[in-house]
Formats: sequence, structure tokens, C-alpha cells
Amino acid sequence: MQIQDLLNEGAALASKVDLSKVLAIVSSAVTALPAIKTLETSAVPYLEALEKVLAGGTPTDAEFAALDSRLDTGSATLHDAAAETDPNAV
Amino acid sequence: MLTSLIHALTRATMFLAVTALAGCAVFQNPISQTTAFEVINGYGLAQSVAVAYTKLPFCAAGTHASGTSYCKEQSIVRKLADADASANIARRALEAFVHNPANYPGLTYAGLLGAFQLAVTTFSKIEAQNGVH
Repeated sequence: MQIQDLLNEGAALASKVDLSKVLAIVSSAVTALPAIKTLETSAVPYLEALEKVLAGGTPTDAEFAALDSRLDTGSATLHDAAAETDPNAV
Repeated sequence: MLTSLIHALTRATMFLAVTALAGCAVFQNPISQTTAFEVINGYGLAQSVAVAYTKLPFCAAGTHASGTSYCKEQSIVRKLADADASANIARRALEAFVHNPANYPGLTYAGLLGAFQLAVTTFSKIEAQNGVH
């Protein structure tokens, strides 16, 4: 396919969609990215620990301690977030 | 970006499965340290979702989060923090018992695990009812 064909096809597609809706969706997704990355990063250790014990492994004291540490960090984050003031509150 | 979204969806699917496991685990007697470890890790996944929620921007005045508008509401954040505090009390009691059951002769595995599971269920319900996932 020639470049001009691609451009024509792109223009035809663009004419069929509501660009404002597309932009709103993209904008929202970009805004959510930091949260998605946070979830990926914080959830992985729990998933890995679960995979180990579900495969028959026995949790060690060190793994319990690491689990406590992760949960305490998450709790501190939630506690701090709960103390924030919503600037948009009416 | 697409890769991140796919990974997040995969994690979310696993989270839902584990949350169901945490909320509906069948009581065993005696309940092992491994069972406690599994359930507490399941709670960790639920807590991870809540922590990610706190990283979102605040919703504009008078608006709520939706499928195309990702934002947080402070009233929901406070509910999650309160539920997390309750879950932590139950979690610490459960862990103390599974590590040294002889120190708590008046308590039982089933009672403490049940209390923790109730706290986890409450936390998960707050997330589900408020679109925190």
C-alpha cells in the first residue's frame, strides 16, 4: 500500500469517528497511567508470593516479615491519602 | 501504553480470583501458616488496588469516576483507609496466633481467620461498590 493510500484511509476513518470522544478516552487513559504502573509494581510481590505457596512452598519467617512490611507501607499510603484535602470539594 | 493496560488487566483478573479465594476460603482445622499467608497475600492484592486508586487525580467537582474518566473521590479514599485499619488489626492478631498459638490459649485459628476474612470481604466490597478496580 502506498503512503498516499494510507493517508486516504486514515482520513476516511477519522471522518467516521467522533474525535472529541477519542481524545477524551486517550486523555483519561494517559491520566490513569501512573495508577496503572503503581498497581503493577505493588501487586507483583503478592502474586509472586502466592504463586510460590500455591505451588506447594511453605512461607518462611522472612517472607512473613516482607509481607508485613509491604502491607504496612500500603496502609501508610492509604492513611496519608485519607488525610489529604480534595481541592475540588464544594 | 497498551502493554501496560494488558498487564494491568491481567493482574486485575488474577486479583479478582484471589479476592474470591480470600473471601470464600473454606475453613480447615487446623489452619496452617500457609493458609494464613495465602489469605493475607490476597488482601495485599486488594490493598494494592486501593493504593493505586489513591494515585489518581481528584474527580472534578460534582463528577464521579467512570469507564472513561479515571479519578478518585476523597470520601472513598477515607472509607478504604478505615477498612484497611480494621483489616490490619485482624491481620496482626491472626499472624501473632499462627506464629505462637500457645501464647493465645483462649483464641482459635478459625475465629481469627474468620475475623480477618470478614475484614477482607468488607474492604473488597467497598472497592467493588465504588468502582475501585
